[in-house]
Amino acid sequence: MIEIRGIKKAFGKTEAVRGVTLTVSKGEFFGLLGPNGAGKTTTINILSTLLKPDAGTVRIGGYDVQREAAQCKQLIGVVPQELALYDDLSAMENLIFWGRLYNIKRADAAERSLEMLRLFELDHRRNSLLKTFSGGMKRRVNIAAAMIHRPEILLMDEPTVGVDPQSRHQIYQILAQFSAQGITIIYTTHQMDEVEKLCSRIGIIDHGKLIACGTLDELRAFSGDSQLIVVTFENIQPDKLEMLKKKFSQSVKIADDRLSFKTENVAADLPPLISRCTELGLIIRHVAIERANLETIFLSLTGRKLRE
Amino acid sequence: MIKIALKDIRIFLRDIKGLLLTFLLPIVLITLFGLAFGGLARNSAKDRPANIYVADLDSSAASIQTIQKLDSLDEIALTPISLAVGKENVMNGNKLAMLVFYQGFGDSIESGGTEPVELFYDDARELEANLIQYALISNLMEIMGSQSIRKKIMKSVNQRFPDIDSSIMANIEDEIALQFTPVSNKEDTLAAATTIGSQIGSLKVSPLARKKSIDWALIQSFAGTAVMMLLFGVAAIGSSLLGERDEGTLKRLLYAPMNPLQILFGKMLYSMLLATIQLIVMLAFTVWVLGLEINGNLFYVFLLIITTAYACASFGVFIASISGSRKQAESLATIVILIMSAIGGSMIPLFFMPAFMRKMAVVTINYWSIQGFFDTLGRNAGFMDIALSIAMLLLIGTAMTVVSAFLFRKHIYKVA
Repeated sequence: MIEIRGIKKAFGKTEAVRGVTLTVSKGEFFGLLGPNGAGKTTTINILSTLLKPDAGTVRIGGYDVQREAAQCKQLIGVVPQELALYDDLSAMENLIFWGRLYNIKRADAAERSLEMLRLFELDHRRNSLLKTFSGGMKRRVNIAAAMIHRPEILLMDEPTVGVDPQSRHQIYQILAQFSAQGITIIYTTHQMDEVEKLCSRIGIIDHGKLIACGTLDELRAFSGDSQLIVVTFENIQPDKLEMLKKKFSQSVKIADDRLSFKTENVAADLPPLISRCTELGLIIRHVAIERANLETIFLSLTGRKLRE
Repeated sequence: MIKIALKDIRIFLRDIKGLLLTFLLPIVLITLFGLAFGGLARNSAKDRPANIYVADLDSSAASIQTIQKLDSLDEIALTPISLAVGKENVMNGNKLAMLVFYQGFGDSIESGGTEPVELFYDDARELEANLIQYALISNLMEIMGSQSIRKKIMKSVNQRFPDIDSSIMANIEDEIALQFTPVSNKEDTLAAATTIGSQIGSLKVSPLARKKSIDWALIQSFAGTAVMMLLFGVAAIGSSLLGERDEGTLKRLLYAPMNPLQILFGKMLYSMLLATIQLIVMLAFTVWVLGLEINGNLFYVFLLIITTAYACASFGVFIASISGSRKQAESLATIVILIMSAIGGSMIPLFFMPAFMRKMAVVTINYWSIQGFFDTLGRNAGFMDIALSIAMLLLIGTAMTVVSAFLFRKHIYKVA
């Protein structure tokens, strides 16, 4: 459904996307996970035809996004990070307006708008001006507006930012429904729990590169299906941390005051690690053993926490 | 494009403060400017005549009579003085101007020669002096013009046909006297209404009122204020394009299957519709409430309203397209509109301005629109008379639209 081949995009000297290649099949719920500035939004903007890649190609439903942008636009619905709605229009008026831009007849647009508002449990407020809505309600309308023309693909750029847990849960349920209906979803976020809950496949993007891609299990396997010993130090001595890294080779990643040691046998590896730290005069503040989840996978892949 | 315009109209109609500012504020300003320019108080000249010196070095019957006639006018009050003292007082700024009737004034009228009259004025008060000059010329032309011209023609006839029979000569003189009443001289002077029914020498001066009276002050108030307020209104709409960018709705508009220029033209269409309605409401108020009588063809008035609205709408999107942010657009628009209004005749009528300012005015929307409204509302101009104003408004509008479209296409994807 979506084929991305080696796309690159730079803004001046900043390389936002550096050769991302990815395929998303029809009906797949794909999560694009990465920290802020990793290149998620730039990738979404390229997919939504808003940005032209410097290199590479993107095909959506068989159409080239650059040469056949109009056909691609009909296939996709985009939920931007911003609440891109008109506060002085009612929820219905907003949805009808966005629907009409896709050349849907007024009566049909009205019918679909009501249908969407029912789905998002906002039909009782359909005639209220959007400025009277809570943040969570606006987020729901924001998603509804992207679905009004019944797209086959939904591109969502951090759609639950600032949403209360109740609204978030409702959004997850609706997205699961869309996915069950065969709608292909690309969901960018830096919230790991969202991706773990919703996505059938996950791509991890960092510094503009797709560093891993697969199901959660595949990613665990990719990162060694191991556990992670995370040691936080009181005193930061980079030269000594480097010595530690040399001793334990590839398994150790260091970022700031923290060392993460990927292991398949905690019982065997923890004691020598601690004694080596003590020998080097490093004062340990905290030691944690973590099972591989997206956070630890990301940490093991990049040596950094996702929210850094 | 239409969908975007309709959406904006719907949002606009919900904004009560915006509605009041769009329609009420211009109406208040038109009324205030109307009062300031004297359009709503037609006898106000009596209350504030221009007081200047007069030095009569001729002391002939003709000069005395002319001075008396001038002094009897509502808008001019003359104070007799000697030439030297008068000059000094004017130079010192104690008086605006001095009118001097040199020796030989009476003879020159009798002989058909050039009348030796001079107006000295304080060059520090050039604007006021222009007004005085204007009033004096029109009134002097009326008081002495026809008599002088008649004499000049008779002198010329005598010189060319010295042997002509005296009875034939008398007939010619009667015929010329009949033809050279002030009516033919003053057909287009603004002061016509002020001299109605006056009697000069042996000549009867007939009323020169047009079929309908023309209230130039009201036309100036309407046209000047309307264009200026329109520019402020459309600039705000133009900068709302940048607001859409800031709020993310522009990005969402770009997701939709439409040409980006449709967004720009949608905004322009909305601006044009609103500007047209605004102009019609302001004109209707000026006609029905302030009492302006339209002398021209209503279709031409409407044509001018549409072209003015187009030029103003283009200005709005132009300002948005050259600005980096909404705040920048608002500041830039305010500065440009105030400058255009000042030199284009919205704030100060063009005829008050020195020649170089009037030349500068031609680059403004205000100038062409105001000129067009003067022609259509006041002068009953034909299409060819307003064609230049319409063409210039279309030209300015199209130039700004083309530049805006180019810049918009170039920069729009920076939203991503």
